[in-house]
Amino acid sequence: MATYDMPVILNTSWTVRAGQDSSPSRLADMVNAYKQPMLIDEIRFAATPAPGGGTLPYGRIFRSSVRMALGRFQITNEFIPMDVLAPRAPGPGEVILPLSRPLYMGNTYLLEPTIRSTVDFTMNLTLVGRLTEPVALGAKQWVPFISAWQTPTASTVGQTLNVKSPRSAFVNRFRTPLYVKRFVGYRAIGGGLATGAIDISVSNYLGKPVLRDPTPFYELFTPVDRMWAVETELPPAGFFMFSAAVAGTNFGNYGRISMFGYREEQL
Amino acid sequence: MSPIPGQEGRPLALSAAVTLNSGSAQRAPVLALKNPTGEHCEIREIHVTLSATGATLTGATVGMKLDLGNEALTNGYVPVWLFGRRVDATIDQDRFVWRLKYPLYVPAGGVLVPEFQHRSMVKQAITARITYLGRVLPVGARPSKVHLPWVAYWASPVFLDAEEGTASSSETELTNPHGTAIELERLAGRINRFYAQSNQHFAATDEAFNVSLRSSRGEMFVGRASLDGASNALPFSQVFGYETNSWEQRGTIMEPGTFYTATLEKVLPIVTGDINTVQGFIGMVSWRKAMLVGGQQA
Amino acid sequence: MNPRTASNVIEQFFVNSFPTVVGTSVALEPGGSNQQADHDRLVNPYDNAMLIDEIRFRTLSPELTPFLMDSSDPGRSTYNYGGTVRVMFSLGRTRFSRVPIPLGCFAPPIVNDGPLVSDFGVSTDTAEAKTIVVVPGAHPGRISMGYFRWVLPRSVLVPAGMVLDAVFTRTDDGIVDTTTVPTPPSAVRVDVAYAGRVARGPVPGNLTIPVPYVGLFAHDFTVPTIAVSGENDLSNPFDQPLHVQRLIGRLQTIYASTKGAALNGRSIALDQSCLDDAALTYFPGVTLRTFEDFNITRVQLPGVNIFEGYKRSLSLNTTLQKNQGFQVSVDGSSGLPATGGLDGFIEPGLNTAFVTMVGWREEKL
Repeated sequence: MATYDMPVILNTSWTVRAGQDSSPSRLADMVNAYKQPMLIDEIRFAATPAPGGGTLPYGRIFRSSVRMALGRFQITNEFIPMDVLAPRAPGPGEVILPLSRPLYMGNTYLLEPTIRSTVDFTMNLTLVGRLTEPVALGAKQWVPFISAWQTPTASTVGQTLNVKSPRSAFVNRFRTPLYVKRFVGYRAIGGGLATGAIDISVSNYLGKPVLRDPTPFYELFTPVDRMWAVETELPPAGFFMFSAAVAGTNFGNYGRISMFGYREEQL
Repeated sequence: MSPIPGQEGRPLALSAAVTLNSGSAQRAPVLALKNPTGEHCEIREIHVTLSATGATLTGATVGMKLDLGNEALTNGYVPVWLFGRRVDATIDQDRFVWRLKYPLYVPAGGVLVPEFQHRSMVKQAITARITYLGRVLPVGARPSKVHLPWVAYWASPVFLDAEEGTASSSETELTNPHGTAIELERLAGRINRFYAQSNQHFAATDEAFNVSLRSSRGEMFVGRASLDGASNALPFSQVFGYETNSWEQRGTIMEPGTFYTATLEKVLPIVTGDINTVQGFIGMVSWRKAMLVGGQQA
Repeated sequence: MNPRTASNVIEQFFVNSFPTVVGTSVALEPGGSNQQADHDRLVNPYDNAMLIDEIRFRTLSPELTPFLMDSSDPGRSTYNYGGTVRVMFSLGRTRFSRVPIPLGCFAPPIVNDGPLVSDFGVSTDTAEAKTIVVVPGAHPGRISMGYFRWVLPRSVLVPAGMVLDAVFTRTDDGIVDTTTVPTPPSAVRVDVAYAGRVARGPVPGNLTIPVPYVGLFAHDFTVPTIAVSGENDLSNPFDQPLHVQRLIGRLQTIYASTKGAALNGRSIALDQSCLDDAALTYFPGVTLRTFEDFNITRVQLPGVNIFEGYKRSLSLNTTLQKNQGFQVSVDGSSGLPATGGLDGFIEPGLNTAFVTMVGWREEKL
C-alpha cells in the first residue's frame, strides 16, 4: 500500500446529557496518529446507552441534533435533527453521512460536532477516511453544507397548520454556488399511532414552482431512504421555499426537512 | 470534476392521484403532471403509491400504462411492482419506486401520461398516486437523442397452493415490438400470494415456482438442460434475486421482433395452508434510443 | 497494470451478450464436509465463454417442530446458516480462497427490512434469514430460509466447458432434532446459482482475467480472550497485487433455549446480541493495523464502528503487494453474547467471529 491513501478510522465517544450541549472531550482521538491530512469519506454517529443507563431504548439518537464545523467552515447552519442529517440508515441507533466529495481535514483544524439532546446517551463518532497528501494553502476544497427546517407541531385534530419555511432555512449563504445534492425528509410519529397528513409544495428563489400542487410528504421523502435527490445548483443568495399543510393529530404532527450540498472553499 | 455552472437544471416534482373502482381503468389528471414552467424537463424517478380501505394490496392489484406523445412505453397495463427494483420489504405492499436508468426527456408542453387499471384482485376501490421527480432542463440543453423506456410483462395463471403445473408466456408478451434494438435493464420477477381465509394479498417470499427462460433466438438462458440432459429450471429467487426481485442486466440487447419465453413450473409449496392461491409475474424493463426531431421523438 | 484493464479487455467480448443463470443445490448435515455441488449443473453449457457477475445462495433449514423458539418472540429468525455453511470456489487450478468461506461473509448482508416510519421499534427478523410458518396452527412449525448474495468485485470469466466448482462444508453446529420420533432430516439444503452473461462470439483463450480472492480470519471463543489474525489470513499470498474491496465482520452465536428440546435445543444467529434488545447488532472490539504496523485504528474500537451498521463492512479500495496484509485483533475477553432471549443461554465456545477480506487479483487463463 502507498502511504497516501492508507485507510484510517478515528473514533471517539462522549456522554450526552439532556438539556446540555456537548462535544467530544478527547480531541486527540480526532487526530490520526501520523499527523497527516486525511480525506473523510464517511461520518458516522451511533448511540449506545449512557453510563449506568441499561439497555438502549430504540430511537434515542433521533431525539438529538448536531451542529458541525471544520475550523472556520460551517458544515451545518445550526443544529440539525439527527433524523434528517443523512438518508435513512439501516440501523435504528445510527446515522451515516457518506461524503461523495470527501472532506479534507488538515492538521490545523478538526471536525467539531456539538450535540444537543433531550435524553441521556453515549454518542459514538466515527470518521472513516484515508490519508492524503497535503494541499497548498489557498487551494480549493469541497465542503459539505446542511441546513434544516422543522414545521410547527399541529396538535388539534381537525385543524391544519399552513406554514412556509423561512428564507434562511434553505438558502445558499455563501459567495460561491451551492451544489445541492438532496433533500431529506422525516415525519415524526407520535407513539406509533395513526398519523396526520402533511402536504408539501415547493418553489424556488425565481418564484417558479418546483412542486406546484400540494403532495403527500412520503411521495417526496419515501420511507425507503427519506431522500429526494435533486442535483441542482443554487447561486449565492438563491433559496428554496417549502410550504406545508400539517394536519393536526392528538399526539402532534410535524415534519422535518434538510438540504444537503457542497460548496468550494479556499483553505 | 467541477459541475458546469448553470447546467444543473432546476428540480421539479409533479404528482397526481386517481381513484379506481374494481375493474375500471382511468388516466391520472394530466394537467397536474404537466411541467407548469413550460420548459423542457426530464424525469428521473417515478413513484407509485396505492391505498385502499379494508384491503391489503400488492403491486399486482393495479396495472399502469405510460404514454409519451404518440409513444406507448408499456405493453398495456403493467403491474406497478414490475417497474423498479424492490427496495424494502416493509413498504413493498403499497409503495413502488422506479429510479430510471436514463432520464426520460419530456419536451415543453408534453406530458408523460399514466393510465391505471384496477385488476379486480380486490373489490375495494384503490387510489393510485403517481409522482414524477426530475428537473427542468437548462436553457439550450435539449438533447438530440433520447432514451425511451419499454416495459413489458407476463402474468401466469393463478394456481392453487396445492396444485402443480406449468405455464409459459407467449411471443407477444416479453417482446421487443420496435424497429430498433432495445437495451435490457432488468428482468423483474414477483409472486403474489392470496390468503383466502384472511382475504389478503401478499408479496410472497416463499418459493412457489421454478423458472426457465428461452429467447426467440433459440438460447435457453435459464434452465438449460445440463450435460446429463436433465431440466435445470431454477428456484424463482435464484433467478430474480430475493433482495430486489430483479435480475439486473449488463449489456443485454434484444433485437427487433425478438422475444423471451418464460416458463414457470408450479411446485408444491413450502407453506401449506387453506385455500391459498399464487400467481407469478415476470417483467422486462428496457430502453431504446430515439432521435429528437423538432422537439418531438422521431 | 491498471486494475481495470483486464476487466475492460474482457468486457469488449461481452457486448451484446445474452444473460444466463445456472444453479444447483446440495444437502449438508452438521459436520458435513466437502460436498461438491453438481458439476454438470454449474458447468458453462454454452458454446462460448461465460462471465459470472453474481453468485446467489439460499439455505433452507430442516423443518422445525413446535416450541422450538421462544413463543413470546415467534418472529425471531434464529436459524441463520450464513456462518456455519461455507464454500470454496475454484476455477481449474485457481482458487478463490485458501479455506472455505462462510456464505454470509462474502458481501454485505441483505438489509434488515425493519419498520421504517417509526424508529421506535425494530424487527428482529433480518431479510437475510427469515422464518416462515410451515404448518399453521396454535403451535406453528417453522422453517428458516436464508438468502445471501455476492456481487463479485470483478466478473469472472468461465470458458466454454469449464466450471466454477463449488465445494460446501458445514461445521458441526449441533442443529439436529434429537427428540422427534422418527428423527426428521437434519440436513440444510443449500442452493447456489451463478448469474452472468454469455458471449455471442469467441473469446480468446489466453487472456489475463480478474479473479476474486477472499481471505478469512475465524475464531471460536471457547475461552474469553483476544484473538489475533494470522499472517496468512488477511494477506496477499500472490506475486501480483491484490486489490482489496472491503473487510466484512460478522459474529455467529449458537445459543440454546430451554424452551423445547427440539433441534438439540439450539439455534444460530448472525450479529444479533441475543440480549433483550435484540435489535442491537453486535461485534466485539476490534483493532486494525497493517503488517507494516500502520494503525488503521488508533485504539480498540467497538466492532460496529468499523464494520458499519447493517452492512457489516468497511470499504477499503486499497492495494496489497505480495505478503502485505492486515492484522485484526478481536476482543472476546468480555462482553460476548451470553443470553439467548428470555429463556436461553449460550454455551461457551459458541461465539465465532469472522473477518473476511474481499478483493481480486489478475491471473492468466
